[in-house]
Amino acid sequence: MHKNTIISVDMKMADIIHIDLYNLFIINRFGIHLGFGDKTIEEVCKNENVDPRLFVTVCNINNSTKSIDKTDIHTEHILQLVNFLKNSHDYYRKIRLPEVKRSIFNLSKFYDANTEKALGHFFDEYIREFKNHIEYEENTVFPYIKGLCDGVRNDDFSINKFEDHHDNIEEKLGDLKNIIIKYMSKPEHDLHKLDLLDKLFQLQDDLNRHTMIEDLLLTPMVSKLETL
Amino acid sequence: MKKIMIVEPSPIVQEGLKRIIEDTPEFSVEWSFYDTNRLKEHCLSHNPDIVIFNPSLIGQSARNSIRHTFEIDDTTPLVAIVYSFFDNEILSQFDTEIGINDNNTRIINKLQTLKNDTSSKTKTESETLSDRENEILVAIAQGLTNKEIAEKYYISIHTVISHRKNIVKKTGIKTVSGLTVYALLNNLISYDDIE
Repeated sequence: MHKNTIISVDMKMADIIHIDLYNLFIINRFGIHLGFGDKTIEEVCKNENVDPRLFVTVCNINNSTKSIDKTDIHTEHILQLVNFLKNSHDYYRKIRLPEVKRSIFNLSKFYDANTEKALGHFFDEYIREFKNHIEYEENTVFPYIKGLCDGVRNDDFSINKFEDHHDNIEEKLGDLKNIIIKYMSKPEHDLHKLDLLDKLFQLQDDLNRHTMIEDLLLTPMVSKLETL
Repeated sequence: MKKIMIVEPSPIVQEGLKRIIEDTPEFSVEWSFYDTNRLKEHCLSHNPDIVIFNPSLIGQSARNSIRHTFEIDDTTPLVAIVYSFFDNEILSQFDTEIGINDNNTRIINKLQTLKNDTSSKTKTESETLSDRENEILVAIAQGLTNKEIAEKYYISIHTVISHRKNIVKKTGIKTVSGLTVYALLNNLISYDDIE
């Protein structure tokens, strides 16, 4: 099966992991556990109290052959999506960022103290900005959405403000990739560079999809809630 | 789509050129001006893909350095629109010329070949920073603002901005902290300089 296969609720849950490894992360972040045998997406989701429609919409978000349409923007399960995003944040904090940091350390110890400090400092700054960003979402945006669901209005905030809040976190990641690819010229450490680049590309890919989910699903859902 | 800036004093010529160019979907005329007032600011802030320029607008002081005077990037093709005599010293600074007798196809052809030329140019273009760019890179890494850099090197803020643009373009590094790492890797500064 091809990466651009459109995922539907009647497909087997096990099959979609073979279509795109990223679906494994989606399954995990919706709180679904492996070991589902030959059950379909719909069956597995119902067992785990996940809305199957929301689940497949998230799986298809990166699929170029299927665009999001209005019928995908339904708000009744928005808190499941918020929970999904929170779980992604946890994964970044606990797994992705530490593993990049470790790779940077493994590479930079072969360089002079200047470079080692500079790279370490650069990534620490990145981690700080990154954490600020997700904490802003968790402490401001998500509670706001929860409030909307409970019928609480907060006129000081609207989801449009959230859209303005994307900053230069992405640029920093791109810079780090370029530095490794173009300017670190000790051939004997290629394997360490490869390892670091591999982690950076994975992180960036994950973040891109995360942003797409926020921009294409979460934001329109919240806008819809705001007008209710 | 390539975004074009036209600087041409005659409304008839400017409008005509716009119509001809916009018949082709790959080009769009985004900005047009009748004179060179504030052209430098426009070039810096809009970053057009192609600049079409009537050489008669160039004053005596700018005749030797059109690109420099108006802060037109080295990689941005500069096209002359010519319907009177100009000496070679001026015309040689342009990448190509559009004549008043050129028909639509010829004009579009010229713009299209231009496009190909520059894409191959950017590939082979040298990525080494000039001495001045290195100096400015160090200043950026030390955390100086554009204004402070301008004062330190007796240059205008616009010049600082255009140097910064070139540094970013050549190195592929966009953030200040990324540029700092670059400067350290290339031994332009030591870690103590930025502590």
